[in-house]
Amino acid sequence: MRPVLGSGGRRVAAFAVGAPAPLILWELIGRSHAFGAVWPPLTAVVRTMLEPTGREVLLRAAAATLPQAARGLFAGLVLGSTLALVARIIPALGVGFGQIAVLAQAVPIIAVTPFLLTTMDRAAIPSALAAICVFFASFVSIAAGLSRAPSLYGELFRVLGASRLARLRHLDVPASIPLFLEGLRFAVPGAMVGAIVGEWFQATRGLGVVMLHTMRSGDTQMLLGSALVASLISLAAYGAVATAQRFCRWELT
Amino acid sequence: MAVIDGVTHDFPGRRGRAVRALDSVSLSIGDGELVSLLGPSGCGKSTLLRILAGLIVPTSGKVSIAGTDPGELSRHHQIGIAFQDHALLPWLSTRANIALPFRLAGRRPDDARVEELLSLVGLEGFADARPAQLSGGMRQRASIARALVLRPTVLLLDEPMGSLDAVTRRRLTVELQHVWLNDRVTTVLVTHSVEEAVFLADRVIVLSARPGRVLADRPIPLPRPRQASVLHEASLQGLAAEIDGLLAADGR
Repeated sequence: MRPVLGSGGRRVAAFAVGAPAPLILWELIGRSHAFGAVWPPLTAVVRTMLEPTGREVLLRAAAATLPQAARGLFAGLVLGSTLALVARIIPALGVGFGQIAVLAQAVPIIAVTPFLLTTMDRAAIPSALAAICVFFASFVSIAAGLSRAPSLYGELFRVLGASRLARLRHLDVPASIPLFLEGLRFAVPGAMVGAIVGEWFQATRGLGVVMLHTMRSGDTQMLLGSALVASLISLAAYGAVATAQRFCRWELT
Repeated sequence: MAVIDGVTHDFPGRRGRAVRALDSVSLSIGDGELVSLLGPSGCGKSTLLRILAGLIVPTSGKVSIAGTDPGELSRHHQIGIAFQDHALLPWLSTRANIALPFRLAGRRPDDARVEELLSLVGLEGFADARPAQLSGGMRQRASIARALVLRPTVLLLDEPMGSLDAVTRRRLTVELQHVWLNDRVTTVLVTHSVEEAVFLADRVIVLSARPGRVLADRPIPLPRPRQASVLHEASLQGLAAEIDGLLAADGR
């Protein structure tokens, strides 16, 4: 029997059912006071977000956090891709780099922060933490992508007299793009997390700062509002990467 | 001219025992000659081709092409190769795939040459298509065009039609001759199809089952260009039958 919906149609249907479900649950919990009176319904949160003061505060905070996350994302990608490329050219270094990446992933960023606070400019902490969060995913995905071309392609390039650099440029780098984008999809939310957590350490502006203040003052509506803004930014970036993936879906056989 | 001189090759086998793939194979291939290497699977014909490509160094014996060794020739971008698998880059158009050897040689692609090959293999209409949009036969034609684009000293073809259906295979065999006649580059074609070997070659080298030895070296005196109808003619069928007989006798 043919399915009623194609795979694309089924995905849309699943999203239409799946995406609103947690939002509806949130609204119901807020209205019924199931978790106490401090849990606001979603509609109340959105109303606060759209009020002039709320909007002003959240937009300014997002405008401070976004560049921090973007800088961290960029730095993490540069570091991850550079190490992955060096590991590809000098395989002996690859093992060591892999261990550094695992270490960066295994050590909780909260544990690294006191060290960063004593060694670097406070203003750079959010982007530094964002970079650490991005580094692992980008290094691992790019390193895996670069060594992905099947041996037949390697043989072709060898017989055609390609230099190592030519092989890297014309074979390994393009072949790594699908996996790189896959890693990027997970790196982007990581950059937001890193930037926000970084802002908890004596930053003056940003979504992390708003979260900290509203948490202390018990303003759960603005607290959830800032979390919602952070999620929307992550989702938008995730969607942008997913779109890029549709254009780079190649598989070497 | 390519010279294969007493080439023996062993692959490491189980418990340290070596498996002999080729046993003192000697032959020479003249300039502009198309030689078919024919034999049962496992006769080491692909191994011999890989030795000619410089991908394998033989256990003993020597190979030289145009007076130099294959590795040196590769470094000068003088070997063209096509495999059973097309090995086209999926992110490049047909045109860019055919032009790839120029890029790997650090040269600007010669557009006129790329266009010439596109039309020679009948892919002018698919120059901007990606490999995923091409049929199996089209991909093989693109891969053969890529092998020829730099006018290599030697062309190595490793069962380039091995993955195609019988009808496409026969059509491509006739086309390959047409493409080859344009450059008349020294060519070694590995195949297990007797008809294909005879139709395309100036000489057919028959290798025995493992370990590979030269069983026979038959010149194919049919005039060129050979028409598709030659495939059904008594002269070709007679030669094919003779070679079939050699292979069958070896198998016993």
